[in-house]
Amino acid sequence: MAHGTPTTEAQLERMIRRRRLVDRCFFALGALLVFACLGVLAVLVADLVRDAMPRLRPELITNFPSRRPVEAGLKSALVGTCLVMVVTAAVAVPLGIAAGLYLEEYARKNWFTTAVEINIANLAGVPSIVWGLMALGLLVYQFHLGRNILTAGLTLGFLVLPVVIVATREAVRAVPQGLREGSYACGATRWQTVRRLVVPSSMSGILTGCILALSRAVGETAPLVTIGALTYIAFLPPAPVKSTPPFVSLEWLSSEFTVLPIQLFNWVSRPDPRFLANAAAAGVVLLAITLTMNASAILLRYRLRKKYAS
Amino acid sequence: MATASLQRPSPLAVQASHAGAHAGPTLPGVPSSSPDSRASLPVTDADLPEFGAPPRPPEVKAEAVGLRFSYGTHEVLKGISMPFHKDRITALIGPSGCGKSTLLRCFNRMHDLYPGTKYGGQLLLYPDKLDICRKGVDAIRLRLRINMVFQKPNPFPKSVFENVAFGPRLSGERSRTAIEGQVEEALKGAALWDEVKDRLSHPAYKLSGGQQQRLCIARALASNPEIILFDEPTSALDPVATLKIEELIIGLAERTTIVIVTHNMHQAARISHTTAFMYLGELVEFGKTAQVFQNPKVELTQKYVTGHFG
Amino acid sequence: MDPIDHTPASALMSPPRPAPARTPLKRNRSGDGRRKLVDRVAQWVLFSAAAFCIVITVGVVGTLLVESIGFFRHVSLVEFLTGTEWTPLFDNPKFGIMPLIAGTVTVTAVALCVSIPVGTISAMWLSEYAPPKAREALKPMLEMLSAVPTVVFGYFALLTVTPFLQKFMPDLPGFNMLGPGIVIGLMTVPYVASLGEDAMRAVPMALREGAYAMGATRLQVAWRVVFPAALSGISAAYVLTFSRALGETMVVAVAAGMQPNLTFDPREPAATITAYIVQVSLGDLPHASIGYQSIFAAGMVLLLMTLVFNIAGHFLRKRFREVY
Repeated sequence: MAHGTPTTEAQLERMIRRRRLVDRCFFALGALLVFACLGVLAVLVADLVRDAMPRLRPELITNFPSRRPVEAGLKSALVGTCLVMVVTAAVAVPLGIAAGLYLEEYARKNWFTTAVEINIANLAGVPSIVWGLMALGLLVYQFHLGRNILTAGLTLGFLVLPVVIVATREAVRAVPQGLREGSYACGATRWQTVRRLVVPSSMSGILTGCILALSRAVGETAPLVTIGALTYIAFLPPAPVKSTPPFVSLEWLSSEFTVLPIQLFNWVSRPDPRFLANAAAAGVVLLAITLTMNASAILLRYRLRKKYAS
Repeated sequence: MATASLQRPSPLAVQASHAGAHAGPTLPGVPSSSPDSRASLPVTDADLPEFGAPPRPPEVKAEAVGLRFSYGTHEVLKGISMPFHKDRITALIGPSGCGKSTLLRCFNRMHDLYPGTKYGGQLLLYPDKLDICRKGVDAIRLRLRINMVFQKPNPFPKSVFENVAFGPRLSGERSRTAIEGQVEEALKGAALWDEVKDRLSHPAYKLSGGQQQRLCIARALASNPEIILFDEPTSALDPVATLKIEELIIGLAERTTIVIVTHNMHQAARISHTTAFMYLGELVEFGKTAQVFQNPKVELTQKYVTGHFG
Repeated sequence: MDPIDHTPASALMSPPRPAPARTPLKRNRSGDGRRKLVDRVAQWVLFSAAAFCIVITVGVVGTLLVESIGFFRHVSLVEFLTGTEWTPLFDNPKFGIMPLIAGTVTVTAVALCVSIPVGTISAMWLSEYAPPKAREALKPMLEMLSAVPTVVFGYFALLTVTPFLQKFMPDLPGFNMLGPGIVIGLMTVPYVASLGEDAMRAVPMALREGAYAMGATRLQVAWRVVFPAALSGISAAYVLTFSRALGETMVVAVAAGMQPNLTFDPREPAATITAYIVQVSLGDLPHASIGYQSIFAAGMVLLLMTLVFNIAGHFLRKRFREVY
């Protein structure tokens, strides 16, 4: 027997006691780490709010950016974020749901399907700055789309596309096969089954994915910096609704713009320390938006799980 | 507890005969579920099947005394009293839901892994008369003395060698040579050595189903347990593998106490010395296997062994 | 419901007669045809959506490739890969990418030193130790950590973490790689913790019971049995974290400084590939100038690094595929 190998009952008991102690220590360590991470999140939010206090006034939302920190506001940034999100959603949601539906309901196991799946996995791994490069080289210069809301929306739409696709696939996969078989047995075509049965059943899951995708897009900065979202925008893009025919205008798509995270980035990079409060305030607004969206998506997912579990 | 030496003779070495015969203890005043099936007294030499063991009256290794067990409010074992003879095979048979697996799992306190379980009565382990079901019993120490082989082979995601070495390492063995020796002994005892001696570092999951189960048996053997529990060990295997394992178990019984739960009563008839028939959480009949199958004392037993229900 | 085939049984037994030109149906045939048309159109629309993903990839890779080729017409590959100075915008430009790679690698290394241990232990704790109710509550909360926009994390790194670190390391400059590295690590802990926990929970109870039955403690079961069994999913989480840290932009752009600096010491400021691209984009660069092309070359390097690790991760997953 090697040195240290327990040979008596007492030694064995000591060894077991020691192991139990290590086990308990690990329990403490794991709990500590998890709560530490949450604690850091809490510190982040608290610090941000504290730093933003002087600027958390209505003027923050109603003012344009200004050289004077006390007056600088987020009006153009907020409007810009909304408009860019409209385009992003218009790109990512239909495309993502369609691609997801195809892969789950129609695709056969051939080389093409595998190629598409590998592609989507790769797209999901592309760093966000590279999307910006693509947008700059291809959309802005090659296609002459210009540095505007349309380009921004397209870029972010492609960026979050994998999120929508994956969420759609998972939601559709969760629909029981028996439901589909019943529909086919009634003589429905595949499209009828998909449109009338599969999509409504998986809508909540798909919706969750879309919310998460948009929440991600709201916070994305790098690609928009690359295509040159300007940071001193003291105007709003043209309104989409006009009072003269044809009553709907798409001019806003070709307008220059700024978004919330870029405004934050700009303010935090300034040498004047008074702008840091503005940056913090922008951070608070941004955080509020993204956390609300994420929380609602998670709540939706939770309610969905309960519905299927019961 | 007395500091008994842990260097008990390996079960793989045939033991010298005991000094004197021990009568199985009968405890007066212990309630039993049915008068006819009360834990019976030793069988005589003439009744022993031809297993090659030296003829001696069996001593009792463990004894259930009014053992009760409940899951939440649902009472699964309703007062079981029976002996488990040393170095013999005791089979537990009965229809689904009768509590045989539950009884088996009381031995190594597997129920502790799940919340809401409650023991009642006693399950005594000899020679130190330890009540397994008592609160405060060290489950880890217990599981080093009593090992289990499960229904579906569950080798760890490690090599063949590491699987079998798991037990000795848990017992605190550190010397590489000692571990290698124990692994080789255990694999020989499980009739697997010749098949895997060149593949000891290969992953365990590459073995066939029957080989994996024998690996699990070797794993159980490696820590020199006093009792080995088998929970329907061959129900997931083909007939050829089943036969090999039955032969193995019969061989093991010469030096270890074995309790086996089986759905297949023919298996019980083939390999066990004593059989206990359970129904709905109660012990209906207990006795020598030959007697239980050919001359059952209780009508219910008769019905079960002749296949009227199951 | 009308049966489709109207051939009565008697017809099958009577002497054969010429089959009708079309099997008579009682349904509305024209409606049937339209349904089929819609079905086909729908199939093609969905197919093109899926195929479009490939087009997007081609767009991304193609753009980088085209501009990089333009870049390498002016800059030799040797100088690019071995040069130690990166100053493309100066009058006497130098095009050695090593400083940017060093910065990227250093920040990623710091991040991984945080996220892998913390994430793995958290995953193990959530999977094996936490009471189910706690797990249900804590897991989404951890996921919130990854929902914070990265530019906010940049703010946090610059204005909270670095000053905090300066309390222990007074010589630490305001811009450094340690603060952002730690913050990126923190930001990616949820990937490891959440995906790792999913992978561990998927390990069947039978494997755990086998280990408990041999007398193992909970830690031994978690570490020696569950963790190896879940290695496939856990290594996928590690690879995801790695990719994320490699491509992170805003945290380093805000808090690490934008000066290319060939060093592996996280206490110094440096620029990563991503920060450089941001820096150039913030300025005014004429299209097709060497400075403009340099960001594409840098981006190409980044994409290749990410690709290599994703492929390595794919093979790692196959190596550790689920064995239960």
